[in-house]
Amino acid sequence: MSNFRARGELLEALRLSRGLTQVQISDATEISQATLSKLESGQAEIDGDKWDRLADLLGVPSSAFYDIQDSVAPARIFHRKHKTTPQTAIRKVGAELALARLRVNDLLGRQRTILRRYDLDGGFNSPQEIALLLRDELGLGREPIGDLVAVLESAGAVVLRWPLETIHVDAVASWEDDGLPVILIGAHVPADRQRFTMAHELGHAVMHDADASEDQEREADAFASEFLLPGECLRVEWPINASVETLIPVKRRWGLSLAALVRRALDLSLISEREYRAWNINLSTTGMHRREPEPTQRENPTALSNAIHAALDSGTSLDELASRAYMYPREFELTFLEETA
Amino acid sequence: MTFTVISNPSVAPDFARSGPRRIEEGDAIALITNRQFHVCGANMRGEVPLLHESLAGAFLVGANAPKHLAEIRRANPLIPLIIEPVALKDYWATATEPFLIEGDPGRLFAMSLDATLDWQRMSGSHLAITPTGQIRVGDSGSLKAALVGANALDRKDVLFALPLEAGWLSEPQHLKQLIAVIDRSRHPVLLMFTSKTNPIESTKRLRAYRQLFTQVTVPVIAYRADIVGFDALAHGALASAIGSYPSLRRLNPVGQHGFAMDPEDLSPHMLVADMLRFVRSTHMRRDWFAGVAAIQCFCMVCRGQEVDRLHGSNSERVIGHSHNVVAIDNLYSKYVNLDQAKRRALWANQTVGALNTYPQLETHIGRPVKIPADLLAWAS
Repeated sequence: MSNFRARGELLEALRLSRGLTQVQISDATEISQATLSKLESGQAEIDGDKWDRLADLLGVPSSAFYDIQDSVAPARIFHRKHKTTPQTAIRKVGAELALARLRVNDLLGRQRTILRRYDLDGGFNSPQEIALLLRDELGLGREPIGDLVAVLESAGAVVLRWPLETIHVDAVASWEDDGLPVILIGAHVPADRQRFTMAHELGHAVMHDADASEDQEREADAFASEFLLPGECLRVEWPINASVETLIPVKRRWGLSLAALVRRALDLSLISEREYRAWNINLSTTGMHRREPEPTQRENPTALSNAIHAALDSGTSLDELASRAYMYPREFELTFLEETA
Repeated sequence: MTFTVISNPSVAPDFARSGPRRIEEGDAIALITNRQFHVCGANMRGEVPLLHESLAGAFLVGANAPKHLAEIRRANPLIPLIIEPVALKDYWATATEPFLIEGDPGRLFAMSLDATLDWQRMSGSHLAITPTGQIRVGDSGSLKAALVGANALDRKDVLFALPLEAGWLSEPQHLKQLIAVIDRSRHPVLLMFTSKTNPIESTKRLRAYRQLFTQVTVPVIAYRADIVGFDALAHGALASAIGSYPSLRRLNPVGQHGFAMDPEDLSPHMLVADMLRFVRSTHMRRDWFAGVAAIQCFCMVCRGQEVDRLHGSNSERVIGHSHNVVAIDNLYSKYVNLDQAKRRALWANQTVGALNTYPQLETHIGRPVKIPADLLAWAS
């Protein structure tokens, strides 16, 4: 990729990630909007002083614009669409994800993933089948997944906790053809929901290749349900006289909320629609919909911080690592070390 | 006029649409097309003679079916008769053995699927049915294994049976896969759902059921259905097969019994065709007509008697089920030789007409009567 183009993509990604418009940048740097537009599309060049001004405004070292080689094109992201989510917010997260992808690639030294994409074949293959195939390929068999984040990280996916509350989504994921799958999990997501959310995003990553439609959202949900708890297992473990008490051990073992277990039971015809309604009324009237007994433990991403700590231990300086990530050291620490600690 | 008090002109019988017809033995699509099928159980010998020769056929169900078939055929040579294999109700399909190969007692080794179907035909069934076991919701392996096995058959006298847990209709991904699998079948599909109660009870499943028939491109028979079979017919089904009593209008899951709200009440569910619903005789007697004259039915079984007259004895139940068989043929008679668009328009009129019977009934009994959710869904 030409340096002009890469530099332009970095500029656009940084601008969007900071929530700025070209007009705002133009006002602050006295670089015309037309020039900024051409810069972002790799069709213009400016002198070093102006690049310094841009770097200063965007909070990155000036070297970032000279060192950049790789594409920072906006990531194709999968996320649950909300009518209230502004498009600018979506673009901001897309830019953040693209930057995260770039930074992670540099920090992890071109790590490879063992994940692959699967074909739904017009519905002939179901998301549930693909979930089981992936389980087999990851060596998970039909056993409970203790730490889903660890499973994803060991498969070569990158998981980061990220402030996503402002766009009202639980998570976003991206998987460019030549890179690693990156999943950003909203920092606001409760532990009970986090596992399902991650599995949902994993489903998008392995099954879909464009912005998710409503249909694809349902496919990702179906994938996540089966991936976290295969139907054939719940059939065996569903108690004969299911109650909150008898379901707690199942919840504990599989790391799913009671509400999710009951929904699975309905989907598998283990309970009737009438029983499902009764369960929901019970969970709602007892307040368990909001606060379930024995809440699931939060899982934390560790692979990236471990890699960074290993680099620090081997003598690489924080400044150097931050520079490789096109960041100042403080932002680097806040983003990749403190946040995952 | 079929009933007093209520009237739905769109369901009035029209037997002029059908004429004498031979049995297209061994040709599944030809035999099924333009016929209304009945699922006949314990009273098969009493019900088959009531079927209309030019437009009806019967699936015979239960252990006695092979034994009674010859006798029933002798008495009713113009009615197509098909025996339902026991696998549909007694066996869970697996990905390695999706079919229950019924043994020929004289053979040491299990027969092939092809030979099993030959055996069905030799036993007198006009068509063969794959002995597919019940398929658990989401068990894609068994579903696809059954498809592969059925598609390996090079014959046109076979119906590919798919007995499925009702949950296949609840989850959009399962439904999508089911449609994709059906679309790859070389044979007409005999589609049925299992549940201890009505498998297509909720509005969600009713919509999914309709969506399936609307989308599939392979001929599908709505099997062991209730009045929902007509909704299927209006939305693309090749035919429907309806039972005269509840356990013949669904399949119980393997090893399970059906659920009844009041197991002590054995009075028959009567098809009130103008309302497009089955109503238990006791319910009508106690809840609708306790203080007013009951509506009379003028079908060839009831002959003007009150529709709520029957109790739970075997003989009275048989009368009620016979009424149902006749009423189903009457209802179907208008569908013969109609194209898809006209079937849909007819069904739309029939459902609107059924809705209109409620104010008529309410005026007669002096209080409101709840409209069933399925009728509201069909009419929507």
